[in-house]
Formats: sequence, structure tokens, C-alpha cells
Amino acid sequence: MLDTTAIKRRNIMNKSTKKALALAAAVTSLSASLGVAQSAENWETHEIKGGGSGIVGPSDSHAIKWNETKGNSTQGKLSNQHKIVIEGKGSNSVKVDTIKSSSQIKGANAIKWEYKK
Amino acid sequence: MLPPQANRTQPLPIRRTGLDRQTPFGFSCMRCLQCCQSKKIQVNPYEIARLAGNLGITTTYFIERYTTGNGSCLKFDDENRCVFLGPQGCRVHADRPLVCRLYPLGRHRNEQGDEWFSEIEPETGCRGECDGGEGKVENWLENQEVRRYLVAADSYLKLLWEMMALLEQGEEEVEGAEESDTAGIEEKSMMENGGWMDMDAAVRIFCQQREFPFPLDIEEKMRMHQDALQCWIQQP
Repeated sequence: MLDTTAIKRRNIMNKSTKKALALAAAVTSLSASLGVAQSAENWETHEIKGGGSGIVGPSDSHAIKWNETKGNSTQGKLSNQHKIVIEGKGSNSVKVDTIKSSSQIKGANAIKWEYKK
Repeated sequence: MLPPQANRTQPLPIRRTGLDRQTPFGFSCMRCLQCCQSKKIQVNPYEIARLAGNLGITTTYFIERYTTGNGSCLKFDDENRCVFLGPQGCRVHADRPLVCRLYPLGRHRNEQGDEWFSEIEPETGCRGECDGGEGKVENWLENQEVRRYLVAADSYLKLLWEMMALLEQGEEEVEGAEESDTAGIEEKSMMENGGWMDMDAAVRIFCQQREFPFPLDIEEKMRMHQDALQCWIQQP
């Protein structure tokens, strides 16, 4: 038997998140192209690919994401030799090359960049 | 005066910051090309259009062939060199991106409209010299012909901040919204799939939907691209 409840739920999810995800994707790409919060790198891929019930929508990641991205534009040649520092996640800071999953940043207080000299 | 934001941690290895257009600054480039390696070169839709125009190709093909991050940065090769770095230097120098023109400066801009500059720590092995002549930051900007690039960056920034504000309104409004029929299916589909960074594709669809002629001038095309984005973000 066709599970119409599940389909209905999925449709509602798609409808409610479609615009937000499209906007988030747009913001992420434009942010990167304008040097605003380079730490947002890979968010778009992550969010789009994370579709379905485990989708990372605005409610999950808003706090960190928008605290970070509503920043200044820095237009300069950046080093691509860097680490992303995720602070306040548990008792320690974590350093990674890229952010690939929401679990990496959920609960963190800040995301910063560290450059090799 | 140093904007308050300048005191925050900056994502650049900075030698000095809080510079304005009147600050003394000069740099003699020795064309050692060190600054074309191990870098992240951001490119906005206007810069992509300039580069694509230089190569005589569409922005669609340019993004696919020469960029990463959905068209937000230039590709680097396996040796971590800019994809446009040739034996004689930059192969697209006349249309090089803003950050290449600014180097070794970085420009900062916030939502309040403040602008300030930083002097970036030079690369290891860089033979260029910052000189103490009579030049100022504004002279450097003029010499590098950045005016159109700054106009473009600031206008896209304004759009970006509008998008961020919209997202911050929360998902409730999005959830209750009806599908708009003011845009064609092709237009909405492209925008929702991230194709909006592609200026040629976005403007082509925008023009087709409204029966506008496709603009050939890059500045005009950019304005139409921004109109297209504005229409899209205002739709429910």
C-alpha cells in the first residue's frame, strides 16, 4: 500500500526547505566569491547532498552559519594552505581541512581559519 | 580611524591593517610570480564574465573549465599554480580578478559601508618591495584600474546581504509561501539548482522570459544579472 503520509511529509519538507536551501546555496557561493566568511566553503555541497529526513536546514545550522557569514567582505589573495578551526565543540578545538558534515560543526561556538606562513 | 571590525581576527596573514585610501603605500612588483601560487583566488560573477570574455567563451564553459566551488574560485593545478599562470606570466592579465590587482593589499568592506585595507604579508620568496615613496593606497587602486571591479563587488555584496537578511527571517515564511508563477519553470529550476552564478545562463533565461534583448556589454549584463537575482530572491 502506498504510504501517502510519508509522501505528503516529504513534499512538505521539500516545499518548506526548497527556497531556504536555494538561498543558502546562493549565499554560500556568493559569500565565497566575495571573500565573506571563507569558512562557509563546502556548505552548499553539504546541504544539498544532505537532502531527505536528515537534511541540514536553517534550524540546524543557522546560528553558526549566519554568525559566521554575516561578516565583512575581505577581498585579497588568500593562502590556500590553511586549516579550519572549529572551536568550542566539546572541550577542545578541532582542526580540519574542510567541513563536510554538519556533525563537525554542530554545537561549536566559532569557526575560524588558521593559515600556514 | 580604524573601523572596529579591523580589530577582529582577519582571514589574511596581515602585516598592517586599518589603511584607508590616503595611507601612504607603494609596491614594486618584480614579476617573480610567487603570488600566483598556493593561493585562493575568489572570483565573483562579474570577474568570471570578464575572464570568459577575455578567452572568448561563455561563463557557463568558464565556470565548468576553470573554477571550483560553484564558480567562486579559480582552479589551481597539481603544482598549486593558478590555472592562468603561463611561462610569461598571467595569460589573462588584462582581465585579471580584483584580488590579483589589489595584491599585496586586501580590501575589507562591511555592511555599514566602511572600507579599509590591509597589507598582506608577502610570500616566501617574493621579490617585490613595498616602498616608502609618495604614493598612497588610492594611487595603487587607480594604477590597477579597479574601479569597475569595486563597483561590481559592492553591488553583489549588497545582494548577498539582502539574501542573508531574508534567510534570517526564518523558514516559517518560506514554509507558508505559495509557489510563485511570476517566473518560468526553467528560470526557477536554474536558480534553485545553483546555476545563478553563471551570468550568461541566468541573463539568457531572464531575457527570454521577458523578451529583452541579450546585452553584449559586460557592465549591462551584470546589471541584468543582478536584476534577475533580485527578482528571484524576492519571490516567495
